[in-house]
Amino acid sequence: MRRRLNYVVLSLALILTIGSSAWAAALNVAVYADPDTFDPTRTVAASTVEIAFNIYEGLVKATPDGSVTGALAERWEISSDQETYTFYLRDAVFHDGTKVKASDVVNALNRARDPEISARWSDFALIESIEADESKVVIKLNQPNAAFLTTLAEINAAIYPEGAQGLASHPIGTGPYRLVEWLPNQYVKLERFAGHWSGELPFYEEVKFLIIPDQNSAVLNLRSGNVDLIPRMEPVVYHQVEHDPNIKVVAGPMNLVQILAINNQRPPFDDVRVRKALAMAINRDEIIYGAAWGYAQPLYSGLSPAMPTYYNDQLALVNPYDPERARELLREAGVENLRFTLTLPSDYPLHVQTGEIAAQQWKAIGIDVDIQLVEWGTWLERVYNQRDYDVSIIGLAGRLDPHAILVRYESTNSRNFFNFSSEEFDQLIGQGLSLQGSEREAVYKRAQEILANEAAGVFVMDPEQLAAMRVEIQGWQHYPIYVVDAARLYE
Amino acid sequence: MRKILSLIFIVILVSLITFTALQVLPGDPALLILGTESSPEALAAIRSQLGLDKPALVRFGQWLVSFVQGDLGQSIRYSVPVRVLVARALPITLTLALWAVFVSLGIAILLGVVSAAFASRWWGRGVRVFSQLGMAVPQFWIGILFIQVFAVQLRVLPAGGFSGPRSLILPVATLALPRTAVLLNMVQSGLANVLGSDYIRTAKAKGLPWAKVLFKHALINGAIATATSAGIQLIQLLAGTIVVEQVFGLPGMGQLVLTGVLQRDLPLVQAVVVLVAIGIVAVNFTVDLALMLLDPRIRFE
Repeated sequence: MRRRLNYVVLSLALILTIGSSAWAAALNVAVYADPDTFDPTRTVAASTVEIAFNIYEGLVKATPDGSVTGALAERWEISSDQETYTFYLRDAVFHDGTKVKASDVVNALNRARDPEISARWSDFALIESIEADESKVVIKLNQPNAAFLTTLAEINAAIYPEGAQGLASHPIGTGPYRLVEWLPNQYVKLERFAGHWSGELPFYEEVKFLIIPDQNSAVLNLRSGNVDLIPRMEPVVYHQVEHDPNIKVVAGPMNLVQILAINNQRPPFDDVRVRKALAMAINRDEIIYGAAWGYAQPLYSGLSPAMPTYYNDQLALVNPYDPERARELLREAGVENLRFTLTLPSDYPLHVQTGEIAAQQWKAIGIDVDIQLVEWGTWLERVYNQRDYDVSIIGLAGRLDPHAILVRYESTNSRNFFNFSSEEFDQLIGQGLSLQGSEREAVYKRAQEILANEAAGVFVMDPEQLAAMRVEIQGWQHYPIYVVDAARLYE
Repeated sequence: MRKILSLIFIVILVSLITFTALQVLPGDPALLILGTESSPEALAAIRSQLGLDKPALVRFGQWLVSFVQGDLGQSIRYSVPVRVLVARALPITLTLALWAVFVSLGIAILLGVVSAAFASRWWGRGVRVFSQLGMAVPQFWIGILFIQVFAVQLRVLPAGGFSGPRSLILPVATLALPRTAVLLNMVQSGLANVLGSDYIRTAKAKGLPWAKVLFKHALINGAIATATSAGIQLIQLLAGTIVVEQVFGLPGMGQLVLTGVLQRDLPLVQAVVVLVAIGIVAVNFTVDLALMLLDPRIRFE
């Protein structure tokens, strides 16, 4: 009898240890939305990049500090006229076991710039030619472009085998993880790839991105142990995990510019004094405390401090919080009883709450604000596409290069839904790409100064990215772009 | 035959309404895919890839023709066939809805009979309070409460997501609670009516055992309103598990149609709405049959 009991205890212990070791090697990550497609020529959604960052690699890839490092290219040379890039390839294999050849690189990048195939071909329009030479790839540009390397780090420049079919649901890349299964609305399951060129094996054997659109649901899953990591937890639910000893939250800058977008061409906002009045009525601390629960940096520039090299930190006093001066400015502009509509995207609680507080602050200087909540699809159509709005609030996602962020304020840019227009700004943006080092920095700093002087919009905050996870998880890295780097995580 | 003709009519009407609604709604699937980084070039490229550059009526015509041929088309948001998405979501929603109705029907009949059998004042009052509460409390709140208790505190059931039948226990309970309350009302009032009638008194007077009176005479005759109500509940569930699916992160039809509408994914929304419409017609038909069995006097007109 006693012996039998021993067996039972022993086998129980065995089951428990096997069970717990299997548990330790799998990571469940909660994300809010499904990928759109894993075809690098077609994907445009941030929710894809977040996952695909682990599956695909380009010639280069982004690092947590916002620079680029070699991925499939071991090193590269740039000609003195800044127009010819020569990439030297590593020995690397795809997830299907075939070797990465220079011809695969040429094929993938040629498809990326083909208007017939690619959704993002215009990003690559500056490429003149791509040629393969054994383990070298030579790319010629039609003009110097300081942002070119960061373009090559984008998902749309990912390398896959020539002739590969069905990448949309069965991606073949070279990253540290390969895709096992994608069930839309449920999960995307990845498995670590033993053949990665780095020779390193990620800690987690399996990483499962669970699609959980609801905030509260994601947090409850984390607390119940169903989910190990929420990369982007909304500050609204922070209090639910604050006192949970099993959960830690790592905060870092998100490289997101939250802007009170003003329609610069619609009267009376075409008068810079009115725009400045709107800006000077805003108390950022109150908004950050009320809408982001304190988890944000106040922002006075169109660029986030997450890009320290280019960020202009001298702009806080251009339009400081000064309700008295704001009233005066309105009077000087001859605007009385100002009343406008504030259009808010209802899908984003942060922007909605920011808008509600901002409306109160404007009311304090005698402006009447009608808040209009619209769903995201409607917002994109009316505010972004048709530019039919007075004032709105949105977060502009970070990119690796300042040009990609600031170019949207160029008067002719299709993404300039602010209808902002400044000749000097246009000139600076035109110059920026062909400059290097401190000259380039000066150009973008001056460009940010113009945005502030002209009050193109009111830059409110850079919210912090709150990554909530089980306390055992180590190695979390914030990136200035929208990714989860699963290969760096361990416990 | 007339049933089938009316079914075809309903399908065409429903799909036309859905199509028009999504056309009238501002927003564009290509723009939603691209977001705030979209440019005219990228929009044009995506629109032509998705076939959105054709006129609206042509697209509706194409959809109808392929639907009749059994092809549900390609989802815009997920770039996979809608058939694949529906095939995964439908079983989850069906299981959820059917179990919710079965469970609530079972509990309602049990409680109803017990309260009729032991018609004490306290018991009856307790049941009434329960059914009022069950109808008044919002479903998402019950769901979150269940998750807090059973998943976060006790850790006996998953908090959400779908990983097998265990994931459906809490959602079924959440859906069943208010329905039990409604059905319990039905069973109770049905029984109360019947129990007060002459033939029951006669049955009791001629010395039939109480149990036989209750189950054979009273329950079946009192069941007509309950059966109709259960049918209505099932119909509501087929179309209305959206909230509970959202709370529990279940990848069912509700989630699909929600994503579909938010992303203006016309083929996806069309397929789900039309399938739900067919399901509702089928449930109505089944309820009619059940009523006929319960009461032979009922005939189809």
